[in-house]
Amino acid sequence: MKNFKRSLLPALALSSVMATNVNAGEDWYVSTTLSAMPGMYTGSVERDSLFSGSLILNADYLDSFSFAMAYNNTAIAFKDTGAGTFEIAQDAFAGRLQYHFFTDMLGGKVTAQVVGHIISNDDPTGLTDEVTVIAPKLAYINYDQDLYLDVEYTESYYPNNGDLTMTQITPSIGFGFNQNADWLRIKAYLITSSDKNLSQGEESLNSVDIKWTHWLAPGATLGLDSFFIDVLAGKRIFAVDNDAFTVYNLADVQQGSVLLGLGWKPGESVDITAIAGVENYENKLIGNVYNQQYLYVSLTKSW
Amino acid sequence: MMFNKKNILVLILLFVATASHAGSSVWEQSYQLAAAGKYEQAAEVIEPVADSGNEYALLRYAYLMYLMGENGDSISYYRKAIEKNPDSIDAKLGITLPLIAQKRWRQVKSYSLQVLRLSRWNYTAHVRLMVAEEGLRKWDALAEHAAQVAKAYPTDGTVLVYLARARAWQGDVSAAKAAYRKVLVRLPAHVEAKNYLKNN
Repeated sequence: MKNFKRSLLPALALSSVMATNVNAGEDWYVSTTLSAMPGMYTGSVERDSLFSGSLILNADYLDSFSFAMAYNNTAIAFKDTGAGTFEIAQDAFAGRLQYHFFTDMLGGKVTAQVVGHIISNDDPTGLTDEVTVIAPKLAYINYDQDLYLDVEYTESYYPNNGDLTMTQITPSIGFGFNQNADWLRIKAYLITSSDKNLSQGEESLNSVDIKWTHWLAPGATLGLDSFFIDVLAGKRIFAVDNDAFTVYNLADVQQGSVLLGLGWKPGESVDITAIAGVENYENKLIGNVYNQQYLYVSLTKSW
Repeated sequence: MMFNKKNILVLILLFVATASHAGSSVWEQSYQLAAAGKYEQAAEVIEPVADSGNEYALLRYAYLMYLMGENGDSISYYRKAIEKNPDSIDAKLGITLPLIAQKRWRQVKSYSLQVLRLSRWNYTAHVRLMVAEEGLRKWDALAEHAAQVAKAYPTDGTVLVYLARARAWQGDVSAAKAAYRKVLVRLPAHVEAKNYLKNN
């Protein structure tokens, strides 16, 4: 895992060079996503507010392979609990490689994927700094595109937190109905800590995330293209969500969440997503239960 | 000398006649099996010829694989045919069939555009490109493209169906209805056109 950071950085740099040489013609499909997420905490003894911004570049070569790079900057403002107010600023880089196999035997597409994260921040305790994550995944979707299965293995390494290693297994199933105008995805997070004393006393946590997406017919209210509702039940800590290139290294024990999302397509090559959500947390070290409310807006442009 | 020139000539003619007779039997046999719906046997008969690199056999074998639903093998043999003859419109149109079956729209689009660069108004390539544009849900591109092709092929109903679908997805109901009405003039029994006009 320590060598992973060394090998991922040149890979990201190479991907960046490749991306600048990409011709977004009929073979390469390039898209960029810019997002912003302001948030605030209610009931937290320590935390005041947060702001997170991301830039994601994705390039697909026909239907064969793709790579993506993501950069995220997060700043969390903390309250004055005796030592004055302070802020943790974090830079997170992620890279994703995908290769697609088409198999008549299984009647669908199999995707092999690997995602890596490198995170650095100025956490005064140092515990959440220099985190690295590696996550291989195998996914399947049938040709009718109404059945999806995947399983992902994630290993997160916290070198400054007593070499803590978090292991996460994330199986998921998705299926379409109502002529694929609706999509339901159920995803389980099975998380294990290598040392519960370093993960707020939690050794093994399970949670399930259920997301329902509905695509609307043309001419819908507010020009909406889709809306979705996402509910997380159960508990998780130091989770990794590679759909959003997010590592919850700065979070306490998450105890459920709910969000509502709206999607627009103002043009053929532009997508806008807006999300409002609430996440419940508990800092078990100080026995503080609190909420995080946030808004998220993203703009995706395909080239 | 045991073989004089005359004997050698007779032997050569006999060999050529036998070989050509055997070749035509292979094709005839394969066509008959395919006509009877026995695609696997029809493919088996010509497989050795295809594997020897014969261009026509590669294309025929690829098509039979497609008919059998062996889309991966079909794509593989069409690719061999394209490697052998990069200017082959047959091969580039042919490969779009198994790619459509696998819903690999971007590759369908890529091969259709390659054909259109070789033959600008090739009808089949335009229709396959429209299939890809629909699969990719590129309604603006599909509407513009279908309108152009409908102008070039004014008697055709299929292109108008794609134009009507694109207009419907763009939310332009009156334009969609106008296109579906034109479809019904050309294809009076078209169920999709009838249903849309009935419901809108």
